[in-house]
Amino acid sequence: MTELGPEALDFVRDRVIHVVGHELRTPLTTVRGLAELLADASEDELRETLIPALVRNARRAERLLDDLLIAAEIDTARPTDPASTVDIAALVAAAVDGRSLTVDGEPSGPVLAHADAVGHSLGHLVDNAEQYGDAPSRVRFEGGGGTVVVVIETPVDHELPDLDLGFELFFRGEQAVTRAAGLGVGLPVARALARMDGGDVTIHQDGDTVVTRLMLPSVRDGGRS
Amino acid sequence: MTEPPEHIEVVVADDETDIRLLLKLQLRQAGIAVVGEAADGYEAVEQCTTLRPHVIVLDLLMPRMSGFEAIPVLQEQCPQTRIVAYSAVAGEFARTEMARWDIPLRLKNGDADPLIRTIRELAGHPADEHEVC
Repeated sequence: MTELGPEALDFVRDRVIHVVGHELRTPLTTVRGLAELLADASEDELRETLIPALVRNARRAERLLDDLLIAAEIDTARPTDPASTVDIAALVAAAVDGRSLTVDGEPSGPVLAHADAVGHSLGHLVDNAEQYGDAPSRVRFEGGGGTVVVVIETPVDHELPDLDLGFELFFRGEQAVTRAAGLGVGLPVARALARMDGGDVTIHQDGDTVVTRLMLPSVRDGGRS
Repeated sequence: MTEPPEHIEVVVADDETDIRLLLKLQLRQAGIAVVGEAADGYEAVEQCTTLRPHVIVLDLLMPRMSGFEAIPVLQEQCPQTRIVAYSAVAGEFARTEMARWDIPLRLKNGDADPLIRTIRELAGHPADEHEVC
């Protein structure tokens, strides 16, 4: 790993603090504001709106902390429990629920992985597809050679030269100053989690489509990959 | 002095659905009507052009067209609508740009009072005894 000088370290530290502050503020603002409204709410209908939104934003803050902890051990983290058979189609369906993405087809079978980690990775990849796509993305499956691949095809109307830099922790594109850009951990965390299960995440641009692949070992022969 | 409108109409522009929900409820509780919502700068311009609200609450970091990019378009196409910038982090760039445009900048947090006071001021209502922060 490249050693950073003091100035570069200061820059990275300041940027991380700034970005984490920005990303935490939205869920915390929402939780505080909604909790205060809930305290005064007498209508059942309003309570039914507020409570799911509170849970959603608390989970979002929790996920951000998970990301930071994964990022802190990105090259060394190892799962503490064994992988199990995971219904990848169900996790994909859950990840795109309520989102603009469409799913075509079915995977060739389940994968051998950690369901929480796969769900977490898919969450980031779906977030990215919605954030950076210029039209709704399509999800499909590929398989073969002991691997199940979740392919996310995201239409874009311009070239994205920095795609590989997205795997660098806390990397955010040049437009991050003026556009919503997230924490900059989605791709590296998704890749780290996939690699812990013997899989990987890749991304490339093919004309007007950004193709993201989440590869995971398939389950064969009754549970062995 | 501007004559205050009988009721204040606001468009809320933020790419976060739950922030829009929160603002809608907080402003409604304060007697301010949220007449439109936008998830990016393009929708913000469209909503203001169509609905001609008194004020737009404008998030600065949004996809497709950011708040920074929407401000000059709003000022040209919707001069009747006053803008208050609403951001999770008010860094030096945002502060400098808003000062240059003479647009108030309010930080997102659970306390909506500073934002509500600013909206009332912009819509022509007198400020209360608290200084706008």
